[in-house]
Amino acid sequence: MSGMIKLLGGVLVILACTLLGLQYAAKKQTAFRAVRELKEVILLLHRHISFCLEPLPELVHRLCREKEDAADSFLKRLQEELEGMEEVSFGCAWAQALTHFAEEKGVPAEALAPVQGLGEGLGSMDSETESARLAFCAEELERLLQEMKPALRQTEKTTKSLGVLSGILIVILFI
Amino acid sequence: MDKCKSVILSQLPPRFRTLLSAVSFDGLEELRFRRNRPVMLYMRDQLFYLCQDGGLSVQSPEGVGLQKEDMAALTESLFNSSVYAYLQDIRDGFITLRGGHRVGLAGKCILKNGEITNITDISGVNLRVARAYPGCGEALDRMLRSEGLKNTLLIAPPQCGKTTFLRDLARLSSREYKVTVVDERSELAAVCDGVPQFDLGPQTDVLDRFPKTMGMMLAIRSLSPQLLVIDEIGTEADVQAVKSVQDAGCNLLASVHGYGVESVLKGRPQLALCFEQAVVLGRENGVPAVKSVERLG
Repeated sequence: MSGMIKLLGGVLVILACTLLGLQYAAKKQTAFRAVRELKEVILLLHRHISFCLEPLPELVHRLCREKEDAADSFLKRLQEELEGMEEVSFGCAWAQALTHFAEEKGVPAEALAPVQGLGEGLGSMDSETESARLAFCAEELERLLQEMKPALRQTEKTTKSLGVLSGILIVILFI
Repeated sequence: MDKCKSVILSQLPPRFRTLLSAVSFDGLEELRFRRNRPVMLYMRDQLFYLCQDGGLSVQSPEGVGLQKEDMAALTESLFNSSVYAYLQDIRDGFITLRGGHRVGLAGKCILKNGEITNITDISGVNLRVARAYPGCGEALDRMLRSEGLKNTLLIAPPQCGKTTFLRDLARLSSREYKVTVVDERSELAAVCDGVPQFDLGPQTDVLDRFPKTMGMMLAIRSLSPQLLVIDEIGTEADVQAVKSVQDAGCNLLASVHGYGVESVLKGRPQLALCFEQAVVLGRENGVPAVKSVERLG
C-alpha cells in the first residue's frame, strides 16, 4: 500500500514539475507571439495610414471590428482606452493600452521601448513621416523577433526537459 | 442652437467643453483661441472674453491666457489625433468640423519648394460657427427664377450672408434642376468625412475642395448640371471658366466679394457679359439682407 502511495506521489511530483516547465515555456511563447502581434498591428496601421488617410481613432475602431480574433488583442485594448478617454490624448491611450498588454503577455522591455516611442507622437505628422516611423518600428520588432526565435527554441527545450528532469530528481532524492 | 453647441463642444478638449458649457451659443459668430490670450467669443458684433469660471466678460480677464498644452490639446482634438488625415486642409489654413463649422489656423508655416507643406506650432485657432438658414432665400429665389434660370451673381462684402444665400438658393433650385456645387473651400456644403453638413437639395452634386476652374470644367464634362453654383469667383481664370460653362449651355449662380455692382464691374468688367442679373447683399439691423437686384449685360 505504502509503495503504491510512493509511486503515485512520485508520478504527481514528476507531472507537476513537467507542467511547471511547460508553463514557463508557454509564457515565453506568449511573449514572442505578443511581440509578433505588435509588429502586425504596426504594419496594419502603416498600410492604412499610407493609403487611406483615415483618422487614427476611427481606424482603430474599424480594424477592431474587422478582426475576428481581437478579443484580447492590443488593438482591442487600444480601442477600449480610446473609448474611455476623456482627458487623455491618443498618445496616452496608446501608452496605457501598451502597458496593460505588456504586463499581461510578458512583452520584453527591449520590444516595448520602440512601440512606446512610436505612440508618443503618432498622428502628429504627415502620412509620409508617419509611414516611415511605423515601418521603422516594424523593422525593429522584426529584428527583435529574429533574435528571440533561436533563444525561444532553446529556452522551450531547456525548460521542458528541466521540468521533467527536476521532477525525476526530486523523486529519486525523496523516495 | 443647442444642437450646434453640442456638436461644437464635442469636438473640443474636455477643459474647453467644461468652460463653455454654461455659455449660450445664441448669436455666437466666432470662437477665438490664441496662445497667451483668453478665449474670445464674438457675438452679434461684440467681443466677450471667457473667464476661468466659465462666465463672459467684456474686459480681458487677468492670467487666463491659453498655454502651450491647451493649444496642443485643442489642435489634437480638432485634428482627431491625426494630422496626416487633415494635412491638405491644414495646408490651406483651415479644417471643416462636423456641423460645417470652420476652423482657421495660425502658426508656423513649413515650406518645401516654395509651397506650404504644413502649419505647425499652432498659435491661433478661429472657429467660425456655421449656420444654415433654410428658407432664407425663398423670396429671392422666386424673384430670380420668375422667368426661368438665369445667370446670377451675388455681390456682398464679408459677413453679409453670401454663402448662406448661395447655399439656400442652390437647395431651392435643386428641387427642379440638376445642380452641381463646386465647393473649393468646403463652405457651401461643408463636407466632413464625406458627408455634406448642409442640405443642398435632392438633385445636387458636390465637388468638394475642387479648384474652381477645374471643378467647373469637370462638372460640365461629367455631371451635366443645369445650374452650376460657385462661391467667390474673382480671378481671370475663374472668369474664363465661367465663359466656358456658359458656352456649354449651363446656367451659373456665383458670388463675388464687393460692395455694389459698380465696384465689382470696375475691376472685372467681363463679369457683366457673363451674368444676366446681380443681387447686392448687405446688413440691415445687424443681419444679412438683400439690398437690390439689378439687371446686367
